[in-house]
Amino acid sequence: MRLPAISAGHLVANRYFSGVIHSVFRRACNISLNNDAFITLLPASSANLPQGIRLATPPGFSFTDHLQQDQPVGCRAGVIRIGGSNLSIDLRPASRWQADLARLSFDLEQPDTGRAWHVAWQELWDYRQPERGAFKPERLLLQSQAAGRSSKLRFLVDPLSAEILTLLKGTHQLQVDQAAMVLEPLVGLGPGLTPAGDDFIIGYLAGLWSAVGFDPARLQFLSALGIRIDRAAAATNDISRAYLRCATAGDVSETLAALARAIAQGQDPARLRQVSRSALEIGDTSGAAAVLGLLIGITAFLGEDKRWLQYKK
Amino acid sequence: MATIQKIMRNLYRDSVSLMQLSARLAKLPGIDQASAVMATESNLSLLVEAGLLEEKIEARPNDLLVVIQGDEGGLEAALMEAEAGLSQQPAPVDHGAGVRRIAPRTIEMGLAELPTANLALIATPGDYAAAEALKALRLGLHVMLFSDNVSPADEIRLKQYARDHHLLVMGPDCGTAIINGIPLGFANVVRRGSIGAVAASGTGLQQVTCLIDRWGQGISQALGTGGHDLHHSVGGISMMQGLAALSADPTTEVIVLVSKPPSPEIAARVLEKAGQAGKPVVVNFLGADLAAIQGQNIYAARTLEEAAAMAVALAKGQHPEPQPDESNPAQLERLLAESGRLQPQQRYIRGLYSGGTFCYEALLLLAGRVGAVYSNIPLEARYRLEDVWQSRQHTVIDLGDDLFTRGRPHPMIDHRLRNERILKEAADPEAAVILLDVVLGYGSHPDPAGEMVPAIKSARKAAAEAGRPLIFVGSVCGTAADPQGLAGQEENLREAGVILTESNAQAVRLAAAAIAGVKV
Repeated sequence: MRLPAISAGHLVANRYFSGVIHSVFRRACNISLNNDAFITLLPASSANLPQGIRLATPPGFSFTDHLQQDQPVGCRAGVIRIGGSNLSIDLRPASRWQADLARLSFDLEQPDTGRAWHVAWQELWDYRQPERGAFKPERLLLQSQAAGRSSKLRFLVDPLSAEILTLLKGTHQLQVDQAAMVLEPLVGLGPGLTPAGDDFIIGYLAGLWSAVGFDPARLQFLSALGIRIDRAAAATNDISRAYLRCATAGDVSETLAALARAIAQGQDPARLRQVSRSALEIGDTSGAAAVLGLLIGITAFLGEDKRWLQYKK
Repeated sequence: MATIQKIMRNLYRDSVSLMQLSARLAKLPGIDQASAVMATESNLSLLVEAGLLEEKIEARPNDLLVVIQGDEGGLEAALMEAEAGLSQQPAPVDHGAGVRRIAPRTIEMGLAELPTANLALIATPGDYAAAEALKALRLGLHVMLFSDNVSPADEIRLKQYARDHHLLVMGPDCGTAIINGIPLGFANVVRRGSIGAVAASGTGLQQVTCLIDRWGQGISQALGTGGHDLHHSVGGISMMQGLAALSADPTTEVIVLVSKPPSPEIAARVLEKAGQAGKPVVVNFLGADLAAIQGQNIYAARTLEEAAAMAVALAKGQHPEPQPDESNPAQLERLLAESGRLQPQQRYIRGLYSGGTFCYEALLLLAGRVGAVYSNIPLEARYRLEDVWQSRQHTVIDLGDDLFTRGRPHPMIDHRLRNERILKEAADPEAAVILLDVVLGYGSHPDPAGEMVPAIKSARKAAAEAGRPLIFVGSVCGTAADPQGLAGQEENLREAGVILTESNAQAVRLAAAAIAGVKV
């Protein structure tokens, strides 16, 4: 069976790569490439990823029915073939997708943008309520502590913890060491394929890229911070490391990028709630941790702005 | 003498395996000639020319034809042997639950089986090779085009398509390559290392890579381009791509280029590209004016041996010096002792080569030392042999030339033709030195020395009975890791009285010294 690709993230080589299947799930398949990068195959209903390929999958399609771990994968002339599988993928018709966060040029001083940020923030805190959503930061924190890990994830419960305030101050002052000192220990913290600590960092970097504009000093800060995160990413698992490294260049999921774009454009509250909910509902904790990082990151260059003090309540 | 033939409908085997089968059949008792080929128009014509077929028969290019000539009593047994050999093929892979996968029959099927493959080796009859190569390129694969008889127009089309799609075509008529340590076609098992090579000559590439191995260094990649690549019409597309690839390859520290001299325009382009390589480039344009090969990082070599020596020196971080034209003193002493016994009429060298580039190199080196040399591939038209089956004065012949291989396998696989010629030269009272090459490695005969030694001994015996010594000088192009084993092959040839040198260039210089009777 040959499936055409609908879209592919801009980090996917369009004609030539080689690798091996790393992990297979019903709705995703991760391919580990020979150059240490990853590609993720996704069904049509999924959102884009910078290193993802969305396929025109038929109803009821499951990757687990066709693929197995360790099967060799080769893309030649735009066709992906998988050794030992009847599934092949035609990459040639795929459109290209890129988050392009740096073009958003956030301005929280704009009333619509500020209001939109507030709606998204409110949606996040509503999502935390047991009766509303699946994000249980307290439970995650307890799990982390029970596993003998530090309580560094407590910012998920209290976003205005001392660490976050240090992070915001370091970012506002463009102090790479100070910001990295807070973020580096979060790498790999939390359970799952994408630990909550990593998800938060990805969201935070997305927020910074959304707000960086064309300010050379901020761009330099982001570049230096990216190098630190890239090095620290060795501490997490293969998949999450790939996502983290993408985020250092502003490449994040379509869901997270859509939320950033909706806020930047000051979209109406109903639409914002919808977009926020889509981002929050990714995984068990991933979406919420990333959204938290995004919303904090968007404001980070502003420092202890009165708007931020207002929202923290 | 009787002939038997059999057409096997819709059966394909590649040309190397068919040549090997033909050679095996021809050695069976009572068999004079045997040929197993795909029944293409050109192959049928060649068999008619060779006298194995009286007229063209009703066979299609998808059919495999076996023709055997010999004593009537042995033909049936030989045909059965052929059928048994051709029926052997890889067993289908058992995937459990009764599922068995058949061997791939197309490039696309092969790629589905091995999706990370990035190169297709094509060895179909020439009429069909370009189409298969284009299929491979369209599937995103680099191509090694072993097949010959591909038209120049097709070669240009394939190479331009490949270049436009960041792919490489090695060939047509590319017999040798070593990719990521894997020998392809007629190639040797060399150690891996920091020297990369691009060559428009198969045996030239084998000589350079084997000498590099012999002298302790290794090969990163060895790329063939096919003999026409540096022709004006093709423009050296593959050599330029190969040079660019090796320039960008971090494991390659030194590059060697080997070719007959290209046209001045193409040479200028190649040298300009070599000058931008960012690493030392040794250039051996056989027979070219060395003064024209210049550049800050470019080192001109006169011979294949010198190219290898310069590359080895550069890989060791040393400055490469031109090779002295001196022969090994011990070998020279022995040779002069033997040449001192030559009869007055024994004045000529007879070079019997299986490698075309070795033959060409011998012609170049001898021309400057002994004067006129006749050949089937002469340096000047006036020295072309009118009858290639009959030597004249100094004669050096390429037995791999089409003139000799019609209806029979290449002399690297089947040594009968050369052995016959050795005996013929031994009977010539004017012959003094027989100059030989022996090529080891994949694709070549499994025991070339074993094939040649009886003929060499018979020739020496026949000459001795006529009161003449006969000097054999040669070189073995191979490595210790080759399937035939370099040491064993050399030992057998030495025991048969062959004076062996490390390289063809050394052998040619020794042969010339024997004729001159002085050190050259």
